[in-house]
Amino acid sequence: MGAVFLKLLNMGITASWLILAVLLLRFLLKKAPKWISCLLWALAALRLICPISVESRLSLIPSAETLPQTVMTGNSFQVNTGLNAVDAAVNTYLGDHYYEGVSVPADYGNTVLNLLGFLWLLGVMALVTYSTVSYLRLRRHVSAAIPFKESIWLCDYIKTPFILGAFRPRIYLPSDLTETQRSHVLAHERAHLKRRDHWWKLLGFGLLTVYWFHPLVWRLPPGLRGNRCERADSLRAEL
Amino acid sequence: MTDGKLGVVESRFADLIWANAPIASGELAKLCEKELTWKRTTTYNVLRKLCDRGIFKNENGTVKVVVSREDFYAAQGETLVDEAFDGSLPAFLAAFTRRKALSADDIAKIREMIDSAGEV
Repeated sequence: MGAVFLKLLNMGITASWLILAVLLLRFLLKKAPKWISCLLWALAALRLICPISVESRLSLIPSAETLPQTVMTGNSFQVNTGLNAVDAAVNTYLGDHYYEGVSVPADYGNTVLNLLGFLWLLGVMALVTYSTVSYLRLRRHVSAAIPFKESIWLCDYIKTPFILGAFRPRIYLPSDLTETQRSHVLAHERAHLKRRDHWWKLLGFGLLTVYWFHPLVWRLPPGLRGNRCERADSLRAEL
Repeated sequence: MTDGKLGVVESRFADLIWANAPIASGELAKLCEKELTWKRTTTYNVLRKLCDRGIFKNENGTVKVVVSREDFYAAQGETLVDEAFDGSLPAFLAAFTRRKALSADDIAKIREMIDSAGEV
């Protein structure tokens, strides 16, 4: 458990560099084509998902393993951020203030990480439960719907249209739309489906469930989502 | 839906009941499963909503009609004429015929209604 969490921590920290880069880039280049930021988000997501890291001299990321394995096995806590100044400062500070005159038990690092890993798992389970319950409640809310055509359903009890389901997505429309409103809404929702937005949303949510402790990851989904609606509209305009 | 109107889904459901009442609730659930692909719980939920609105009632497992389809839509029509045309039926007809002319059949029927109404 501790080992898993340690790996996640390291991956998370590495990805942070990428996420910060995206946020900075989006702030500086507001007019840049959206595909650039999509690409960077994709790289960050990839770093979060893939446990195998490729060490490259060309990499701008300082270190792939900020918290080395010795944190678990050794009785010391040394960081390896890849930035010498930071490493020196942190390690010296910890050495001076935490380990002097204190006898640290041999597997202290291991114990702490196992505990943190356990807490992490609790968080994951809480999020999974919450999302499952929300999904089921939404499903139940739209159960009283009638099919319109293909996988489009009309429902009396919803106020806004939406897509539900990742693998066999259904478009739910409020039943009181005029024909023109309906055709516009359908074009918009179909554009979303064409860009597979329902899959990205699922992915974003999966990442969040695993990396719930990482504050920057909470910035990911809105970044994707904000892009998505505008792009769906522009795609629809092109169609 | 609000103020007594039936939504598209609710009217499909209500039409099923009006066409088949009185009907055992279990039978109704089966019918909705066939016609609308609804689960049993969904059928019961919407049924409860319509019973609360006073259109149907569920007596010991049998679904019965309280307000018939004609009465229901008559009331809707009255509300429409009241709200949109200040209760003036001629105004309603004028608006109705502005875009679609009356057919000969319509005219005959309306004349008949006027004649028999005059006799009351």
